[in-house]
Amino acid sequence: MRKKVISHKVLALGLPLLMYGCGSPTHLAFHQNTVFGVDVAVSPETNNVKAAVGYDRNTIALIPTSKLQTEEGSTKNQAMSVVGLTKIKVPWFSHQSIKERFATGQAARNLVKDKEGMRKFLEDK
Amino acid sequence: MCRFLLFVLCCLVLGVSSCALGPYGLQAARYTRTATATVIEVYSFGGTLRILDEDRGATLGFRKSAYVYEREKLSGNAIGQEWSFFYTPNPVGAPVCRASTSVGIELQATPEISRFGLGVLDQVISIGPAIGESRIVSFSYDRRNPAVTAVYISHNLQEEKQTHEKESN
Repeated sequence: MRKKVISHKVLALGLPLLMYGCGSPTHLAFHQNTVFGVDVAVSPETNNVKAAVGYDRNTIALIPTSKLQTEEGSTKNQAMSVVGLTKIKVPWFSHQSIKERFATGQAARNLVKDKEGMRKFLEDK
Repeated sequence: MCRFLLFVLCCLVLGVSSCALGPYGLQAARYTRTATATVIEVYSFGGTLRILDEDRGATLGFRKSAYVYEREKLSGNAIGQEWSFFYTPNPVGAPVCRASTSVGIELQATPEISRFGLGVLDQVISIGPAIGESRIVSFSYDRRNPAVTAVYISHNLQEEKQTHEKESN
């Protein structure tokens, strides 16, 4: 009887792909990621598979999109309105501290119209 | 080689008797309540299966995960810190920030990313509202000192202006 052997590569790449169906970005998210080792990741937003061996660090903003009906009847993607400020302190070999401020949707659109409000919002206290 | 790796994996699973399923299991959590935030830091070792929607996945090894929530408005809990063992309930609702450090094998299936990792993995994720929601969120979180965590969430600009005025006063 012939034995079927699952390749490690298939397993390593297949697991995140299997998990991909579990969710898609429906919420706004700011993601900082540091890896020391092996990492195989799939972003539901872009469907890109990324593999890293060794050290890797990245910062990603995931902004959800919605379908917008145009006057011509076609649909196009529209990104969520966001105004944000992020301040991160990353010391060596220690945990970081984070300060984050963001406005979304109508609040972000109102903020853009209000210059004084925007200035106060983006002030780093 | 394959069998040896499988043996090492089995030893890790069986040798380390601790395991956790969701909020139950051999894990410890430190609850830090500030005036505006609740921070839950969960320490687990061994096999951990996480079923919380925002942090779905599994870990084999050590993991420290922290969840930052807006403080419950009607909470009767006093400001301060307390430890909880074996059962680590989370407040209702989604956290505004999630931070984790894991050493070992990590499987993650959250809405932001799906991954398989081996080694040291550190991540901080700030979670905003769903598309179409109008909200202003402001928070600060120091992973070394959760007692200074602050979270403000408001749903319109007027409310945010009042918050700023209160802060400046």
